[in-house]
Formats: sequence, C-alpha cells, structure tokens
Amino acid sequence: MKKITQILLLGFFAIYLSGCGVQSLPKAKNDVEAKLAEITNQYKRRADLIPNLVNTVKGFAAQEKETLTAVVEARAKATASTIDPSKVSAEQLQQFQQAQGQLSQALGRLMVVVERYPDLKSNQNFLDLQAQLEGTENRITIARQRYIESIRNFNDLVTVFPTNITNSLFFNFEKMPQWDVEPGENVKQAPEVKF
Amino acid sequence: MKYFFAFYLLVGLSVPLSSFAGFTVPPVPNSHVSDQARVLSGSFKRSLNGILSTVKNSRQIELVILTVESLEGLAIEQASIEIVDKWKLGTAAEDNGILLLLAMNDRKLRIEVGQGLEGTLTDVYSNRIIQQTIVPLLKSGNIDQAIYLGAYQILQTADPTYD
Repeated sequence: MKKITQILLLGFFAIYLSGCGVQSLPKAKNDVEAKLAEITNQYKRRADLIPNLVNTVKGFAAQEKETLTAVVEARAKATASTIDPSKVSAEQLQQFQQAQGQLSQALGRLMVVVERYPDLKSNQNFLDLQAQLEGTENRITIARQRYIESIRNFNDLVTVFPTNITNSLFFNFEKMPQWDVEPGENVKQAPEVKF
Repeated sequence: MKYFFAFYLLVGLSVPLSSFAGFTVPPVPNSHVSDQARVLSGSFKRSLNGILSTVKNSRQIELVILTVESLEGLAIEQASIEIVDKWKLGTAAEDNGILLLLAMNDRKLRIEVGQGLEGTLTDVYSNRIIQQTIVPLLKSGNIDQAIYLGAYQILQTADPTYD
C-alpha cells in the first residue's frame, strides 16, 4: 500500500514538474540570454566593418572629415560599451542600446553624404562593404525581433498561471524589461534593390 | 457587462479579419520552383526543379525559388525571413537552405541564406550575383535566364565544387 502511494506521488510530481515551468522557466531565461548574445555578436560584426568602410570613403571624400570622425567616435563608444548577457541590468542594456543607436545614426549620416560621390558609389570595394553593412543591419533587426520575442515568452512564464506559481516557489525570477527601439534611432531603411 | 461583451465580440472578430490584409507566407511548396507570379515557362520550371532536387540530394544544399506578384507593402527582408522560418529550408543541423525570392510588382529580389552557408555565400557574393547577373537579365526581360544563371551562381558560390 505504501509503495502504491509512493508511486502515485512520484507520478504526480513528474507531471507537475514537466507541465508547470520547472524546466521551461530556466530554459526561457537561457533563451533570452542566447538571443541577447546574438545581438551583441551582430553589433560586433558591424563595428568590425567600419574601419574598412571609413578608409574607403576617405579615399574618395576626404573633405567629409566631420562625418567620418563622427562615425569613428561613435564606433569607439559602441565598442567600449559591452554587456554580459548572463547578468545584464536594465541600465546597462539601455546604455548599450544608446551607444549602438548613436553609431547607427552616424552611419546613416555617412551614407547620405556618400550619395554626393558617384565615383565612390560605383567603387567595387565600397559596394561590397555596403552589401556587408546592409546584411549586418538586417541581421541586427532579426536578432532584435527574436530577442523581443524571447523576452515576451519569458515574461509570460513569469506572470501567467500556472508557471507563475512555480516561479514564486522555486526561482523568483523577475519580469524582464522589454527592449525598445530608441526614439532617435529610426529603424534602418531596408536596402533597395531595383530591377 | 453588455458593453464589455460587445467589445469582446468586436476584438474577437477583428483578429481573423486583420490577418487577411498584408502578405501571407504561402504554404510549404512541393517543388523547388514556386512560380506564384506566373512569370516562368513551364518546361523551364520542370527542368530547374529537377536540377535543384538533385543538388539537394547530392550536395546537401536546398535552394528554393519563389516568385510572388506583390509583398503587399512588407519589406522584402521581412518577407523572406518569414518564409524561411515557416518553410524551414535545409536541415536543422546544418541550416543549409537558400531562398531566392522575387517580388515582381515591387521589383525587388533577395537571396536569403541559411546560417550554415553564410560563410561561403556571403552578403558580398549574394549582392554581386543580384546586381551583376540577375538584375541585367531581368531588365532585358529574360526572366527564365535570370533565374537559371542566378541559381547556378548561387550554387557555385555556396559549394565551389559545383559545376
């Protein structure tokens, strides 16, 4: 008799553990961290492209010193602001976001200036860099979308029944602040391919 | 309470309605060439599909062509990622799928590359294939040829041993 109760109890726990967030809560937290790591990875890729871009533009448009310096400075700030995805505070995240947003703006201004130099615009090296930069901006957008989605998923688990009870019993995770796009940083226009 | 119910009904109704507007990802196709815009010739579609299924089996690269009339205002980068997310091209382990998407009325095209192939078929090469091969042929009206040469170069870049 005692054994039967034990087995029943064990079965009950197995069902309880699999359905109530004991696994899915930490998993969701790991997922959020992984998604944030992907964002930082793509931002780093963008920063790595910039010195080459600046040098190429310099060759054709050396007089645009101000715009170029702005990009170099914004890049320096953006690379200085790093975050550790596993233990990031809302403040750090905002700082990181701000630095990256400023770099986006500086890059946007540079791309406007570039329009005035037809030789630069038809330079193969520049075209290649532009393609890489556009691709990276695109990946950043996707990485951000997936990060936002994973935070939403995590916050649902933390706040919605029944997993919220599991959370308050075992983990005490707090709701995560949602990543929001900086007001000054307009979401980058999609690169146009006309045929 | 009555108002609340009315509101609830309104919300409930508006959700399915709103999903009709805008671009919807087509269901997973059973061919490697989906020509929804009807711009490719029938015999070309069949032969290209044959080539692409052989490539999928022998080289573990899954290239799929999709032509649509319009993206209904959606950015092509967004549309292409939604499509590959739903279609799950390539294998999950290798992420070796490629989508060549053409939106005819929008006059836009894009090569969406799975992460497993991003190292070989880079943004730079994709851009060159689009700008130097596909776009000029599309401009001269040779859509079949544009797709054929585009697909050939995509495969050759993704796997240098392909010829």
